[in-house]
Amino acid sequence: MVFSSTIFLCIYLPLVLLGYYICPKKGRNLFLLIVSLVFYAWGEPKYVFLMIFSILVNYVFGRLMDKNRGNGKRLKLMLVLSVVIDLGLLGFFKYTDFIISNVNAIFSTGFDLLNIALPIGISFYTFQAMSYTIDVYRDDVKVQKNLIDFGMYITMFPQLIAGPIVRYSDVETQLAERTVTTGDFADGIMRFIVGLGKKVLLANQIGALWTEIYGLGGMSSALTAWLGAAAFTFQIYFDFSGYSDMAIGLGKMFGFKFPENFRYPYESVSITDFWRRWHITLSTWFKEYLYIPLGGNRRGLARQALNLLIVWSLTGFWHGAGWNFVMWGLYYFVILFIEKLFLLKALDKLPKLLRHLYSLLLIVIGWVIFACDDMSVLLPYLGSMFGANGALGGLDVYWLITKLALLVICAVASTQMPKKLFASVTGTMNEKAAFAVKSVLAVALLVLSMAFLIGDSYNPFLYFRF
Amino acid sequence: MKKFHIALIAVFIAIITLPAVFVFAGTDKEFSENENRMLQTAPVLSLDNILSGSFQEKITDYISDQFPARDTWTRLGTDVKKLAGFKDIGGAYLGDDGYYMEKLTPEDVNETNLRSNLVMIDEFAKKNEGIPITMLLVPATGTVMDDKLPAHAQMYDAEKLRDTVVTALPDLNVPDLYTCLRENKSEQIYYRTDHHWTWNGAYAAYKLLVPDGAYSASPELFSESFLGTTYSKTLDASAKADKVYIAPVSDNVAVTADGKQIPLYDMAAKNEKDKYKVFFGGNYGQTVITGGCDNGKTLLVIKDSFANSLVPFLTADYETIIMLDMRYYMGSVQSIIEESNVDEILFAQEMSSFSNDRNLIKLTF
Repeated sequence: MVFSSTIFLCIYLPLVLLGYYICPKKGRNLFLLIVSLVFYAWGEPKYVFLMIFSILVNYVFGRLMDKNRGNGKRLKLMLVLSVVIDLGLLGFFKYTDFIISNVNAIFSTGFDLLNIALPIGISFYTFQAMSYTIDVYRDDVKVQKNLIDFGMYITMFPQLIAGPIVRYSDVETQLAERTVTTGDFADGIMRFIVGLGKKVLLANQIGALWTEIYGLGGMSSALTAWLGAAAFTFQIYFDFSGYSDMAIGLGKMFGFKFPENFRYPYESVSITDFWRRWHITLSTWFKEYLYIPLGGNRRGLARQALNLLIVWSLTGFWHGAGWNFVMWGLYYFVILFIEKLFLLKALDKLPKLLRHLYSLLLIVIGWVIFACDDMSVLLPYLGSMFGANGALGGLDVYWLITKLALLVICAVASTQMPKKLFASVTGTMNEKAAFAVKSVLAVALLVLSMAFLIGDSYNPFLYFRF
Repeated sequence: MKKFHIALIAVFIAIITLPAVFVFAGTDKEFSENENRMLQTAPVLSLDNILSGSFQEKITDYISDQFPARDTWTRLGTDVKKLAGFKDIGGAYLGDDGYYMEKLTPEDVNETNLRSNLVMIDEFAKKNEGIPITMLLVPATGTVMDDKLPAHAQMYDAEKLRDTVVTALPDLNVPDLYTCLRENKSEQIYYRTDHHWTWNGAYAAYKLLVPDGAYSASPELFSESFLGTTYSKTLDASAKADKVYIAPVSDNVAVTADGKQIPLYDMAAKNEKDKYKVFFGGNYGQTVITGGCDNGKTLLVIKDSFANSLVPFLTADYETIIMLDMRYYMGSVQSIIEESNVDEILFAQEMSSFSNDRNLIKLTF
């Protein structure tokens, strides 16, 4: 189930809210566990067993590590085993077909693909589970003895399928005890609506333009290619940050405080800056559980380069089982390393506008690499961007005219401008008036998002063009 | 302050809860005329359905299909998109003067498939040497009415497509319908709210096909309230209805569709949303029209729905017309040609539908 659907918004969410608040406090975690499993099982019921298996494995290893605290060797063995199982499941379900097809390509073998359907959210919840076992190993968090609370942490439906990656330590205390004030709940609603609007009104609409342009197969005018790249750049941001907003908002409705995942990444002044603002919980995860254990920057420049190389190849690969994702990760490795070596210092001397342009240009090209999962499209597409097929042609001027307003809205909405504007308008009002204005805007946004949601389900069928 | 919080919470809960209450309390609508499709009705809850995922799928469709005031919500979306400067919605261009035209770009024409269709027709023509074959390929509204398209919008190149056909099939008659229709632009040759052509458009094509044709009756008004499929794609509230004219035929005309007697004009379509259904009441695999004249001539038409409003004119010139819609016709084309002593063959289809047609392989059966 996705948040931006009528089934979630109009049936699942009201029922879950109702049930949660009817439920006595003691039973609420169990209730959330059950409804989260329903949420997860919605599209593919059988994978619920995989989820339960993951919960049990990490729960049991957490307990075992706690028991063997004094025995360093055993402790390490437990950790290694749990990590191998976690990554083994992720690897099997996400990467097997990729590996088979590469083996076939290299050795001209003919192994059949397994055509495994990717269990939704597996990349996210695997990392969440690992954050727990690793932290227990490090004695950074207390072992969780309550299976229900632990299961609920792994499956919590708000962040289950698209993050943010909530580390166990982020919510450890909230699992046992949390309170929701009416103010929290109202905040949660507004945050959720903002996310829904980002997803339905911006990401889906601008995404339609990307779909159309990607369908051209990479051969297009330069203007078309840049429009497509801009469209995807906005689509992925509003899609992803919209999901995070919805997750954070939903979390608030149930008393959770999830970490922020985005901080206006397209306002970055360098790529180093960008990665502090984009998908923050993933970067933090890789930093905490991979980069620093590898030695980080404490073991010399050569070792740091290697560490970064490992982290960024894996970051790319985490995003998808395809070479373009690995390339995308390596692309950022190269830029980040150059920035570390000298570029960051040089950039500091430039005017801010140029630093923005530098960052945006590299980010947009990065997204083209990311978006072209068909490698035969990537090179022609990059070529088209730089004029290989002429500057103008096809529908590009049409798209520019008819999508201009949407593009401008997307550009503005990805900055802090709306927030600042709102603050300056309501700055003179009292708290109640400001809240009332905000509420009216939120409700209008909700109604509009629902209109678009329903419009998208509206599919005139021409009965074979009759 | 708490009151303000509670007010927002209450409004939010009401907005997300009420639609489902209405859906479950109300009666299900079974058919959406605007979308021309069956709607999902309340699914059956059973363990099997849940395990297979079909219950989840159906209830998801159910709630969105039966959503209260669904068309109104959709219209609100359309209005906002128009406000934001969108010029195509749901695959239809919002043109000038109330024209809603199917958006068919060069990429919507499958040229590989077109070439293989032309090869099949070439073989078909060789097999039926001596029977004249005409390729009447109808350009879509936006190609002819390009002055009504939004600025810088694009359609497939109808002239180029015709050239491809002429080059591939040099021995066949490929009338230049594109130029002919453009010359008749002073009349309304296409509907504004539907992708089909009007009486005027079909009549111009008829005159091009049979310059000395015998048809002479005047058009007859059938409906003034036609909002067709391209309108339905946008559900634009500012659309103006089209008039539908039909071409009266001789009283002796008899029509058999897939073995059943039907009237050529289905007057019941007046009360339906899709008024274009007046022509034969829809599409059938095989439709045989006889008795319009008595010259003994037989015409075989391989067609899509564009031909439905053209064929009435042709009844004045061919005693028997056999229409085959290859989407539904499963029999042998060759045996019809031989058994019915077909004198002439006409392919009548919209250009992109012809290019993308994957049913012409049946010609070889």
